[in-house]
Amino acid sequence: MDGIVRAVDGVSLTLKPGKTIGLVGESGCGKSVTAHSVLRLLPLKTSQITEGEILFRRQNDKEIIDLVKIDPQGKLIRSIRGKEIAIIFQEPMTSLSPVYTVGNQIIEAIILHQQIEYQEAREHAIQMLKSVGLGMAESMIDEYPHRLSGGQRQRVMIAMALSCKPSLLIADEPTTALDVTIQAQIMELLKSLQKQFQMAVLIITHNLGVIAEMADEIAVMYLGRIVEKGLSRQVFENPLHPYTIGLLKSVPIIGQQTKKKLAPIPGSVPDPLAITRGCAFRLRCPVYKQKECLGQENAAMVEVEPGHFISCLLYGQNNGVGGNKN
Amino acid sequence: MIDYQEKSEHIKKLYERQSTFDESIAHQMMSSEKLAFATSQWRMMWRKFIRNRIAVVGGIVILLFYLIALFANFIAPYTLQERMTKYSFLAPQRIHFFNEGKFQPFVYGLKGSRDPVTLMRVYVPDPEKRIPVRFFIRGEPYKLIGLIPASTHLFGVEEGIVSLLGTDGQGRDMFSRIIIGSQLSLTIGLVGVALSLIIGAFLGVSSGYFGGWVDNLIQRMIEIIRSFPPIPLWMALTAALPSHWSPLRVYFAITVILSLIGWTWLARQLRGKVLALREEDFIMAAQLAGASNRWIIFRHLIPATFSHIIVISTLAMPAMILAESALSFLGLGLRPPLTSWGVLLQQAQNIQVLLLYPWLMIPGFFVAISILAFNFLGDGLRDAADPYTV
Amino acid sequence: MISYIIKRILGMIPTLIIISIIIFLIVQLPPGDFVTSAQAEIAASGGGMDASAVEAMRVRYGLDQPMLVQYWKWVSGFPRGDFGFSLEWSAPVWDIIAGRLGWTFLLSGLALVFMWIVSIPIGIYSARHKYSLGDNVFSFLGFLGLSIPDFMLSLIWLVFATMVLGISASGLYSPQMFDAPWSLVKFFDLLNHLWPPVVIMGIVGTAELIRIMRGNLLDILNQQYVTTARSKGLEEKVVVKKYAVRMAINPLISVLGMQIPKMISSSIIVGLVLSFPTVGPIFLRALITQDMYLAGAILLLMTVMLLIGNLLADIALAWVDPRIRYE
Repeated sequence: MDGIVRAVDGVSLTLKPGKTIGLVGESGCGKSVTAHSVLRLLPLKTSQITEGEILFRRQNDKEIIDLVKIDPQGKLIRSIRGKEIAIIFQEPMTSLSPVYTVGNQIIEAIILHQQIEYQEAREHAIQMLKSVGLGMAESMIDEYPHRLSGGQRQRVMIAMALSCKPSLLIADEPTTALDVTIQAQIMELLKSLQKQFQMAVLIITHNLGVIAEMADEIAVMYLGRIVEKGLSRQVFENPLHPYTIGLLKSVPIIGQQTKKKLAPIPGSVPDPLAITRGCAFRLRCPVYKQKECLGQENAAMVEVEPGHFISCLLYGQNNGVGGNKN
Repeated sequence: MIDYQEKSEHIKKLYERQSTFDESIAHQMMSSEKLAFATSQWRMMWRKFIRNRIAVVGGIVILLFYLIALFANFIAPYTLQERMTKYSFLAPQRIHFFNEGKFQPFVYGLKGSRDPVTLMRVYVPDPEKRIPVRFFIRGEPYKLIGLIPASTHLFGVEEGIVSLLGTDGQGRDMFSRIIIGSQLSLTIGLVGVALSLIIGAFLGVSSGYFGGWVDNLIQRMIEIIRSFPPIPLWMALTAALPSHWSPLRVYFAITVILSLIGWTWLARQLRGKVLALREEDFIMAAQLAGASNRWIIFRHLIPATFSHIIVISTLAMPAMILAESALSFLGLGLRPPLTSWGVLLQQAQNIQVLLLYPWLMIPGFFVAISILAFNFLGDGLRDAADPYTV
Repeated sequence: MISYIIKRILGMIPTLIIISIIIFLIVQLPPGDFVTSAQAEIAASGGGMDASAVEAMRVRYGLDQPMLVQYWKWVSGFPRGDFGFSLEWSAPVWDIIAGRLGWTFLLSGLALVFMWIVSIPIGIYSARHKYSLGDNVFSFLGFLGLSIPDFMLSLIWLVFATMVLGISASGLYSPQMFDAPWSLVKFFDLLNHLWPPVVIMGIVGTAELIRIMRGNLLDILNQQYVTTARSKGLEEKVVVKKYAVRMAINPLISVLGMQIPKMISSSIIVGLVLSFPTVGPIFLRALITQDMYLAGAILLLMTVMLLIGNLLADIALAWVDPRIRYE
């Protein structure tokens, strides 16, 4: 089957310095695509941003630019990548090139964006390694990645990403590939570094526990759309969209005494190519009503309480969508 | 706000009850999704293969070659041994298709004259004489597929000669010899690959499946065999064949010799595939269910590697055809009266002769075309064998 | 690194021993006493040999003695540089083939260099401009190169060069240069005769390397570390060169190593057709006249060349890929 997939269709987020937004959703819902598109990292031949804007406030002159409009291979985006906006990825095992030392790859990022000598850059790199909790930084800097463990590699990635003090950090499933104990360490590390650098953080994950730990605000995505967003507390305590409710309900609570069965969301995520108009969640929604949910344009974001938005055809009227990313 | 909360409590309960999931909506699943689920693996492979036009062309060419080889004696106007010594070293003749407006193929007759440079007697086309080319003409008798005696040829002439690709030093028609020679060139490949496959499949699968010392031993064997440069090794082995052996024995000996090295590549390929499959859950499931090793190998592993076997067999053919041609070209392979493309090329070894009569090289083009076609086909099959990636 | 090299060299020794045994067996294959059958063959093709030479052979090879002794007598000469004696040429094997081995080595080496230089840029281009016209053209040419046998290419070149271009295509030098003293002109003449066999030999390997390079690069460009490099703000050119190509080179070295046996085989055939002083013509003649010790020695030396080539390729791979060094 060939065709055009609308991987992201209706995402509107605002990120603030020192605050963390968590983007939650199942695999394939478009969260990674959203993350990659901020830095224009999507493959040029097979993807395209057709509409929308990504507004970013630059570090030195505080000028606001629209990242959608600039050349994805040009000097401007390259001066932002790794310097003002950094991204860390899910698979630490494959995120570093195996044929260059860890130091080589970090120093490369430093020298690229700052006019300093090699020795100074090397010192800086060692400092970064120490600040992410890698004690033997002086020897580790000359190691090859395959000699490090997964957790160590992820710390190296974080060191590399933060080496130029970005104002926005995008973390695409940073802990998914790690053991649970390491996960906790990495999350602590990210939180403390965020405080230290006052960065805005966009954390993407399907793990609700991680979100609960780290995020000030939450946005829930399904098949390319944000279906609900709000402050952490609001979404966790008062979920409104059927999908969000289903997600929260499906998490088993350890220690709870109950003889009830687990309550998963029935069905599975459908093929994005095959979605026709109307709500994409309708095939699995327990309150599906044919009249409202089928064949309509998608619902607008409706503010049900201050800061808490929901997009559901059963909850509001169809109006225009608003909002942008800073 | 209040009634939103009520609604969300209601939804929570619905999830718990799970009875509200309406199957019929989910079954509105797009028809294309259903099609993807229902199509068998073979059909998906076929569809992917057909889209690759070059591979299809390759396949058609191969099919054509083998068909022609099957009916070679019929298609060729002359038999293998027919000599027309007065027409030796004749250049390829053109067939003209229209005789004064009517569709009637003919060739020019030949008249003798003396080449001014070499002072040798040569035959040149005589435009005055037009000899019609007849179809389904009676010629020298032969045995179709070696069994059925017949003497009708697809085309020919009643007098003179029709030589599409020229003649050699003994006046034998190259076209006929090439067509009939294709029988051996193309079948040695088949037999050779079949033999290599039998050895290679057995050893490769065992090596991959059992691992341990079996694997080590077989891998060492393969390493050692591959340490020899192949063509010199084949040359040495074929040269050791006694000269008094009958041509048929030589034929089989050569296929065996070719297979002795050929199996290593096949074994390696299969071992790799088996190693990957061995880790798959369905193998472990079979083991847990108590299946014997033999059962797992024959019932699970081999069918799973089947498409891969077809691909590597197709890709192994070119090497076989090439090897036989090279060896026969050097005089170390098949021996006359057995004729293959490589044997035909022996005449091209003499450079002086070749420069004078370059059409003697033409069998080599047939070798190249068949190798090319097999490569295209094999490549297309390899892409199609994994229909799950784009 | 050093320990890796030493390990590999030690591992080669049993292989060498087994190979020498196999070749020895092949040498024994033709029926009958080697000397008598060789005598017959040589007589049939018009040569002759004297009785003392024959007797020397009998002693040298221990022909009246059990197999094991014969093997030992044959093999024990190698470290001394004594690879046996040729009845037909009435000379020690080493003298006959030493220079020619050099040419075989040179041609094979140059062909490998040619492959390397040509296939990498074309492979990179094809991967980055996938499905473009250029990619398809190179792909098709690659297939052609893979499919035309080297002896055929040599013949075509011979005919083409002589009839169409009117230049000398066979041998090392043009006829008029044969006896001329060494000079710059002669050197260029040599080069002119050298490049056709190198290109012909290299074409097959080049086609394969291009396809593999293209395939590898396409895979690698989808890898995470390439995206990481891009996300740091590096120029696309640098990303491709430093991260993608560098990784793609590794498997290419192995593939290049696998071309070595084919190159040696190819040098035999191309050398025969184009009258190059490789071991090819001598080898063929030795086989036809059943001068098996000569043939066996040549085969052994070719195999040793191959093993050394493989060793060099493995060392190169370990040097380039740190993961292998540490295993």
